[in-house]
Amino acid sequence: MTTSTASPPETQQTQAPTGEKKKSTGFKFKTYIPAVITGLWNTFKHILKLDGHKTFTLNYPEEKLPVKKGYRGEHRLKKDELGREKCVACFMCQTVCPSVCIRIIAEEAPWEDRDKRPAVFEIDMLRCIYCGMCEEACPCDAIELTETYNVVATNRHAKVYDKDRLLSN
Amino acid sequence: MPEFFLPLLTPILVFGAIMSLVPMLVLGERRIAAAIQDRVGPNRVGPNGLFQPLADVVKLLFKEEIVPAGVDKWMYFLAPALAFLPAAFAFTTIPVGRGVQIADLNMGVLFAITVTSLGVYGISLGGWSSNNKFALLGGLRSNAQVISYEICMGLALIGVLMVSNFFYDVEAGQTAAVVSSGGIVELQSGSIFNWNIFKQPLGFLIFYIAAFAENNRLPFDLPECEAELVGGFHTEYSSMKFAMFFLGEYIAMVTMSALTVTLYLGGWDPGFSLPEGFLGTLISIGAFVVKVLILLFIYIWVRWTLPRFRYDQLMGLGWKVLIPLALFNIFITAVVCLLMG
Amino acid sequence: MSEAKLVKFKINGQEIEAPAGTMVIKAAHEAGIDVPHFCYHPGLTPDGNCRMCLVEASNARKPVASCVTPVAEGLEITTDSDTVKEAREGVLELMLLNHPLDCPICDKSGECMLQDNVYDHGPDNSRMTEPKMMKPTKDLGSTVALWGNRCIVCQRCTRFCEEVSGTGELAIIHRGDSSVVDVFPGYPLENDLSLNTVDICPVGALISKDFLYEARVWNMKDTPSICTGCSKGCNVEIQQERNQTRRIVPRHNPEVNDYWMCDEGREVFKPAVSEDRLLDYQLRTADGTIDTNPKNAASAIFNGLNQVSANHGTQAIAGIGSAFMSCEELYVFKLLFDGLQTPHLGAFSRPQREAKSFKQFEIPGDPNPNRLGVERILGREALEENLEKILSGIQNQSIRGALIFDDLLDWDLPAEWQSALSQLEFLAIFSLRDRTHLPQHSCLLPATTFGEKDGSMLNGEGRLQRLRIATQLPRTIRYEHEILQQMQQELGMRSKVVPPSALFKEMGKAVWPQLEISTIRELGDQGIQVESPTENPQRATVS
Repeated sequence: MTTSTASPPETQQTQAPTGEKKKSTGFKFKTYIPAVITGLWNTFKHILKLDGHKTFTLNYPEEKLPVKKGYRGEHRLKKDELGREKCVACFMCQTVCPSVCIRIIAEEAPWEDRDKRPAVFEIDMLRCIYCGMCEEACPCDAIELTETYNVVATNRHAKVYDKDRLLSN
Repeated sequence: MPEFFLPLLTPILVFGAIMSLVPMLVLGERRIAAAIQDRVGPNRVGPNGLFQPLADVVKLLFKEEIVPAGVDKWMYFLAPALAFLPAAFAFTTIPVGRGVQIADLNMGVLFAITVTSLGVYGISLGGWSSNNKFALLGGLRSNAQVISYEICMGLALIGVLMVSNFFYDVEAGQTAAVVSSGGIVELQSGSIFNWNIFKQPLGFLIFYIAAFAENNRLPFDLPECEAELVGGFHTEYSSMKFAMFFLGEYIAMVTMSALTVTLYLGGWDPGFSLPEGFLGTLISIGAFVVKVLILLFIYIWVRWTLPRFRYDQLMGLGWKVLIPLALFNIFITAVVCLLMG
Repeated sequence: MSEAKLVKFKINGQEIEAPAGTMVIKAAHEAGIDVPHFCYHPGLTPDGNCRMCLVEASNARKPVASCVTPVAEGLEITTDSDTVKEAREGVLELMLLNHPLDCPICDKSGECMLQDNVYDHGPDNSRMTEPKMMKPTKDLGSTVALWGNRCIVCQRCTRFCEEVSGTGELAIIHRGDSSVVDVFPGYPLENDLSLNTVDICPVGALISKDFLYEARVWNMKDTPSICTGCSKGCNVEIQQERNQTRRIVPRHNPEVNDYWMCDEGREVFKPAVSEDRLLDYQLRTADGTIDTNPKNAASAIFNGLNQVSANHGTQAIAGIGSAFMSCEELYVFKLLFDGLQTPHLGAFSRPQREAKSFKQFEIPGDPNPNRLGVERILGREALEENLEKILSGIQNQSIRGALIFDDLLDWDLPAEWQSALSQLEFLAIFSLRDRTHLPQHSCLLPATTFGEKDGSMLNGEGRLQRLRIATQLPRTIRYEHEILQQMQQELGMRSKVVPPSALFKEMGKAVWPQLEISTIRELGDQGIQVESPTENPQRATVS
């Protein structure tokens, strides 16, 4: 209601005598009763879901919000056509990572077409802030953030993902 | 049913009903609050969340019992019991159906009012013994609030008694004053227009507002207001002792609603003439329960609609508005009675 | 070289003085003016083949290579004109024609001169559309691998092999854009300085096989220190990542090692990170159990030695240090055994080997980094005579207890010592390796090693140089000097345990009273010559 918007002292000082404004200082305003009833009616409409009110809550595990494009979830290490990891262990992601959650140990690759590959590639998902900088820094398009977001673990070690876990993500 | 068991059966049934009503009330409050805020509310435990109260109770029972260092142990343990018991006591004088009443005291209404006021001891002692400044402030506020609103509640009650005795006199030709709750309900039965709410509309309003304050419900929940006092008087309470406060508050709500129904809304009277026998008793109980539930719904509805009063506003409303209004109500009632008598 | 005449000239309008004969690039660098370069290296003769250092000179119409242009009176050099910038861009574009863009997997990236120069001065794109040249990737020897594609033919490595090592294995083969550095078939790059070619390679063409893919250089932190592989005491940077030393590279010190160091010295950090390193204290107590608490180390040794001296007299105990201990440790060691009133004070050292002489570099025959320090602090006789006396003393049972230091790299106790030590009643060994095969030990204590201790060492030419802490000690280990100081405390000789810098002050006054060195800080990064060289080897000099 309009009555409840202005504060009483202000109204009294500035526009006390005018007829129309007097309503706000009169019975309706001072007793609060109309305002209270309006408020009760307003909440009652919410209970009955009148006026287009609707429940916003999703029953989460059964209903899910669709994942938006560009969502940054858990990481994945991509594979090439032969099923080998594309990563060449250049340490760019580890260098750019603001939360220092990537640990790489490089080794010589056994393949002809490249020199280097990661022997160990670990991401500490608990430290990770999912900023996606690793994805941007990667020169080989070998790491990307998937839309997976709801993976839980019962201990901290399980949230340090090793190379195999990331490759199968 | 043998007459012998009835006196024993009634208390068991009534208290059993209240005790099981309270958890459902909590669930109801949460669901209604959710509906008002366009949420869902608890709906996981059992069908549609019906067993949520059970889960809550089990959780509260198994929580760690913390007794902070520096509390006054004796009073600290006494307070939750004091908060819980008076509200339950008051229910003894409420007629829940035709002829179903634990004790029809001849000054039943006064007893109920007196005993519900004792509930404030639990709160103020809890606040005092916690040795915590927030808890103490909560307890103090509760004292001041209950004392203020007790007065207008009593004054509103005077109007009911005046009306009751006036008609009693006239219709039955008796001179004994009726202060028993059963009697007051009997007087209102028969027709919906016999209900005191139509004879005392202003009195009803004052009484009901005072009942909110008495129960520390929003918009008058200053003793425990979370925003200023953390948790108010129960800041230092956990586990079952906290549950006792919780229980006390909700039983007090039920009691106050029942009292309001008894005094103003015709008690167990369904608004039409009841058939004789057991069926009539059942219908009367049903009517009483429905009325109480409606009032409880209003309690919840108001809570999730109105914001909390400021402390000075609370006091101003009590002393400067409700008490003069209650006195005015008595005056009008007296004038009308005089003119009609 | 006789005193050269000073020449006045200008670079970018800035008045500069330099001795006649100095090349412009050197004068510019000394004046703080950046002139990008590849083939120029201050430790090598200028070659002028990369053309990166082109500048405009007032006495030439076309830009000149500043690394081969000597300064002249009144010369005016411009390094920031548009012509120079265009010239640099052109040079870099040509260099990038065939250079692969494999920086992500190149070990050099991060310290690559080509990378830096292209970022600073290079063109923003390439007009190259043809396929790039492919050159071989292969091993040049047991230490160095070649990535031919990355070579920009600056000839730094070939000049190093000719001028510094004098071995001349490397050469440029083929012509034009096929040219690449290589070795002659059957004559691999096998000399004791080979890894210096990796250091000076401005790109990732020459790569150390030992360091290959070990770490990215930008992740490593540098600590200036000295090599403890031999008595030369080459100045080095210790590069560590996550508290683990990854690599040692030489640091410029014209008085000691110039820009170079030997391949062997680059391995001195290995014992510290090796898997069989001793990490736990094993203190045998009176009732036969083994105590591993490092806090009890000092009292365990002290009580053991005390017991022996109580039973057999103070002459029955001996202390043997080593030529790998820092001067501060030796000093505390000396004080302690003086306090225990025993004359038996020796020091182990690695046996002399054949000195290796290269054209501009000398690998001395003495493989002990602090032999001279031992001579000054424990006495010249400690290394030979005393050791023999102690050995015979142990063998004839006149010496019954000893504290020995076995922190020498790549060295094991000689057989006669092993059998002699087993006759002792009490023995405490500070060791790098787990010597449980010496069953008689009473106390086995882990020793600290290269890169872990603070202090100073005196190299073979009498230069006192600073050791610095690059990596923190493993959690279970405590410094030897702390334990020795605690034993001093038990003797009542010392009120509290002090850091090596404080020990250095005490030692400086006691050992070199004529020198006015008050703090270890004064040693700086280059060290101080505290004694005249005992011998006068032909030192590396820049020609």
